[in-house]
Amino acid sequence: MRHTPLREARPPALGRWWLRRGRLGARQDEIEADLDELFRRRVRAQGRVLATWRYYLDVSSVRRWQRGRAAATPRRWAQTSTMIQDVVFACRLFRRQPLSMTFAIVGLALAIGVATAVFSIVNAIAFRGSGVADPASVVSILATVPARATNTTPTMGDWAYTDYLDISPAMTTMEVVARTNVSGAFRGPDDTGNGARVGVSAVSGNYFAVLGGRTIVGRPLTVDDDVDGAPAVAVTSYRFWQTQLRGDRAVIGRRIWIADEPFTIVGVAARGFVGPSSTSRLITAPALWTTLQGARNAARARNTADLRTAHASIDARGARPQLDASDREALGLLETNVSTTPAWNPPVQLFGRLRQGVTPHQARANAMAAAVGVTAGYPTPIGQPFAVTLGTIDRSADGDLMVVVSILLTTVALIMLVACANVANLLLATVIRRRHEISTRLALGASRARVVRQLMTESLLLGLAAGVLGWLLAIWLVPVAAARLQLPSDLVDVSPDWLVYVFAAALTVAASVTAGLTPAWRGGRLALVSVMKGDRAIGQSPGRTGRLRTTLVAGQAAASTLLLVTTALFVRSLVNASTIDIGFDTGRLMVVQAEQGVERRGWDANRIHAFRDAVLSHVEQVPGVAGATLVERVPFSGVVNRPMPNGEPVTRQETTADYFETVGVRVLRGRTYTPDEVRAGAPVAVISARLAQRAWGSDDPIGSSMERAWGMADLPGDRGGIMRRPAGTRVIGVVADTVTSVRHADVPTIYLPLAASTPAAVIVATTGNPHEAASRAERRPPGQPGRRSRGDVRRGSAAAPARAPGRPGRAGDQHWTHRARTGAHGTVRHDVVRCRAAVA
Amino acid sequence: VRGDKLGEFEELLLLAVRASGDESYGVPVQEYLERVTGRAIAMGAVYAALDRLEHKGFVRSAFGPATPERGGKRKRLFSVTPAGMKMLRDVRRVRDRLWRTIEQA
Repeated sequence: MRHTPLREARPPALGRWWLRRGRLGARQDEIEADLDELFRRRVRAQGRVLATWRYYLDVSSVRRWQRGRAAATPRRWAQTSTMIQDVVFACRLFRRQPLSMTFAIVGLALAIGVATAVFSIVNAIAFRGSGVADPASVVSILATVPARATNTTPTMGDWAYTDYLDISPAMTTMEVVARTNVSGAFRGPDDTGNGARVGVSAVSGNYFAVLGGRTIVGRPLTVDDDVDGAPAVAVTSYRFWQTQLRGDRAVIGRRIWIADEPFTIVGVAARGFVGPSSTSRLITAPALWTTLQGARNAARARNTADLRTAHASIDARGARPQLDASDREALGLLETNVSTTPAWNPPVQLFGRLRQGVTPHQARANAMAAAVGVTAGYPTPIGQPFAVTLGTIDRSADGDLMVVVSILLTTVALIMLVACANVANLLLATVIRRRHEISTRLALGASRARVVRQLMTESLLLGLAAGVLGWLLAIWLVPVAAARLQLPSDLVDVSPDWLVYVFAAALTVAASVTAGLTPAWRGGRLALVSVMKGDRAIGQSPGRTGRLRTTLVAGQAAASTLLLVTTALFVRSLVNASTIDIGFDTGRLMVVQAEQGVERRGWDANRIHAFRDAVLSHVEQVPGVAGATLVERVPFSGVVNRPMPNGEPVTRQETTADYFETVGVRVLRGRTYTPDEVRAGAPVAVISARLAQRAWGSDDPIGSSMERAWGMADLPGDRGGIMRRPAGTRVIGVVADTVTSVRHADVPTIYLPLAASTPAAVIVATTGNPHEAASRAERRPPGQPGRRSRGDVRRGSAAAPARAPGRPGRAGDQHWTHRARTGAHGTVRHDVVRCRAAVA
Repeated sequence: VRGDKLGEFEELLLLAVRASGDESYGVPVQEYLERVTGRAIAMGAVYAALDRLEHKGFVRSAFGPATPERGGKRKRLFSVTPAGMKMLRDVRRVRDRLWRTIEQA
C-alpha cells in the first residue's frame, strides 16, 4: 500500500510568501525546508487544518526571531545611514541660520588659512630639512682662517680650495666634501631664461654620494665628473627645474649657460635636497650643482676670454705703448690666471660624514692634526692662531631661528584659540536656541550620546567647510606672503609638502573638535524636564551655562587682547626699525664690489695704498658719485664682533680717512685720522660715543691709550688681522654711534686706519638716488646678442646697500668688468679695474 | 565561553540536541521537545535558542548533505560541544544536590 507522498503536502502559499518576506538571508533555504518538513509531518499526524495553523505560528515566530536578530546586530549601513541623517540635519541647520553660520565658517576659515600659510612658510624656512641623509652624522668642518690665501674674502670657517685638496686625504675619521658658492646670469636651453642671477654650488665629486643626495631624473654628480678635463656637467635643483626648466624630463643632456659658461645637465635633484648649512641663515638650494673642476674650467675659460678682450680693447686704441710697468704687470697677472692652476683658489666650506663608530671628539682631533700637518708651511694670512672646530648642521640647534619659529607658532595658536572660542560661543548659543528640539529628541528616546554625536557632526561639518575655505585662502596667501617677505621664489620652495597637508588637516579637526566639544557636551546634559516645562534655558544648574559662556568670552577677549598687543608691539618695532637713526645716511650709499685680493699679491704697503687711491679717484669721477671710501666690512654684511676684556662685544672696523665724511658719521670730539696716517699705518683710533662712555666714563678718552678699551695690545711679531690691536694705539676722536648689525644694534665701534693687508670694499656716496646710478650701470654691454647679464647688479634697500659694478664706461671696459664679476675672482676683477684705468 | 548562563529552555534544548543523536536538526529537536514537555513549541523559539547556545559555545552546527526529501535543501545539524556537556553535568549536579537535600529533609 502506498502512502500519499509527503512531497505533495505543501504549506499554504500565503504562509510561504510571508516566510520569504522574512529576509532570513543565508538561512532562508534551511528554515524553509525545516518548516516544510514539519508541515508534512503534522499533516500526517494531526491533519491539514492544524498543520496549517501551526505553520503560520511557526512562520510568525521565525520572523520575530529574525527581527530581534537584526536589531541586536546593527549593520554598517544602519550606522552610515544615521551619519547621513546627522549630516543632512546639520545642513538643514546651516540653511536655517545662514548668517551666523557663514560668520562662524568665515572666521574659522580665516584663522585656518592664516595659520596654514604661516606654517607653510615656517616649514619652508625652519622645518624642512637639508635633505641630507642621516644629518646627525654630518658635521661642518670650520677653520678659524684658511691656511692659504683665497681669491675672494672668505667668511669665518671657510678653507682655501687648495687646503681642501691637501687635508681631505688625511682625514681618515670622516668622508669630506667641499662646496663653494658662486653665482651668475642664467640662460636656458634654446636661449630661454630671464637672465636672472642664480646661485651655483660647485661641489666635490663625492658630494651627492656622501650626503645621500638623490636625483629624480638622470644621475647625481660623481667623482668622475670632478677630474681635470671632464666635461662641465650640472645637476639642477628640483625647484629650479620646475620654475626655470618647466619640469621637462627631456632636459637631461641639454645645455644651459651660467655666466655665459655652458653646462650639460645630467640630473635633477630630488625635491627637498638642499645640502648642509653651517649657518643660521635661510637654507636655500642652489639652482645648480656643478663640480669644483667644472667651476675651475669655467673660470679658466672666463679668464681667457677676459684676457682676449683686454688685448683687443687695448690694441684697438693703440694704447699698449702707453702702459706703464704696473699696467703690464696687471696684464701679466691676467695671463698668469689663465695659464696656471693655483690662481683658482676660492674659499670652500667643508663638511664631513663621520665614519661608523667615530665620535665627534676623535673626528675633531683628526681634523686638527690633518690641518696643522698640511698647513704647517703656510703662515695664516691674518695672523690668527689656527684652529678647527666641528659644527652641527642640525637646524633645531639654531636658537635664534627657533625663537622666531616659536613666536610665530604661538601667534598662530592664539589666533586659532580666538577663532575656536568664537565658534564655540556661537554653537553654544545655537544649542540654547535649540533646547526644545534637543529635549524633544531626548524625550522621544534618543540617548544623550546620540545628541552629542549630532552636535559634534554639526561642528565637524562646520570645521570641514572652514578647512576647505582656509586651505584655498592659504594657497593664495603663501605666495603673496613669500613675495612680501622677499623670499626668492626660485630658491625657497614654499609650496606645501606632506607636513603642511597634515598640519592643515589636523588643525581643521582640532579646531572643529575644540569648538564643538563644549556646546555638544552642554547639549547632551540638557535638563529634560525643566526645559520641557520651559523653566530654564539649559543645564542642570541655573548658573553653569552662564559661567561657561562668560569663561569662553573672557578667554576670547584675553587672547584677542594679547594678539592686539603683540601686533601693536610688532608694528611699533617695525616703525622704529624704519625710522631708527643708525648714525649714517644709507639712502645715498652704494657698495661697489671691487678691490679684493690686492693685499695678497705681495705688493708693498705703499703700492697698495697708491692703488687704492687710484681706484677711489676713478670711482669718484663717475657722474652722480659724491665720494668713495674703503671699509673693511660693509655695514649690515656680517660685521664681526669681538669681546673686550670685560666680555662686552665691540665692532672693529678699518677704514680709509674719508669714511666718516662719505658715510656721514658725525664727529663728536677730537678728529678722525688723515690719509697720511692711514698710509703710514699710524697707531691711532677713533671710537664711538658708546665705547667712550663705557670704557672711559666721564674721563676724556682723547689722547689716552686704547688698551683701556681692548686690554692688552698685540705682542711684537703679531701680524695683525681682524683681531689686530696695534701697540701704542691712542684715541684721537669720538664719533656718533652707528648701527651696523641688525642683531647687535648697541655694540660700540672702534675705527682704525685701513691696513694694507686688510681686504676692503668700496662704499660710494651718490649725489642723488643710488638706484639711478645702479640702473645706468645695469645697461647690458653691447656686442653680446642674446647674452643677458641683468643679474650683475642687485638693487638693495637702505639696509642692504645696492651693489653696482662700477662706472658705465666704454663697451670693452664694461665687458671686462662684467666678465670678471660673474665669477668669484677678486684678483681678476681687480686687474680689470686697473687695466681699465690704464686705457680710459 | 562567551556566556556561562543556561536558561531553562536552553537546558531542555541542549538535552534534546544530545538526545537526538546524529539527526539533530531543527525538526526532530522541536518534535522531541514537544513530545517530552507536552507543550507546543514554536520553531522561532527553537532557532533563537540554538543561536544563543551556539554563540555561547555549547553547541556547534554544520550543514549535512542535501536530501531529495527536502527538495535538495540541506539540514543544519547540531551537536553538543564538550563545554555544553560540562554545563549540562554541572546543572544536573546542582539539581541532584538540591533534590537530595529535599529528600533528606
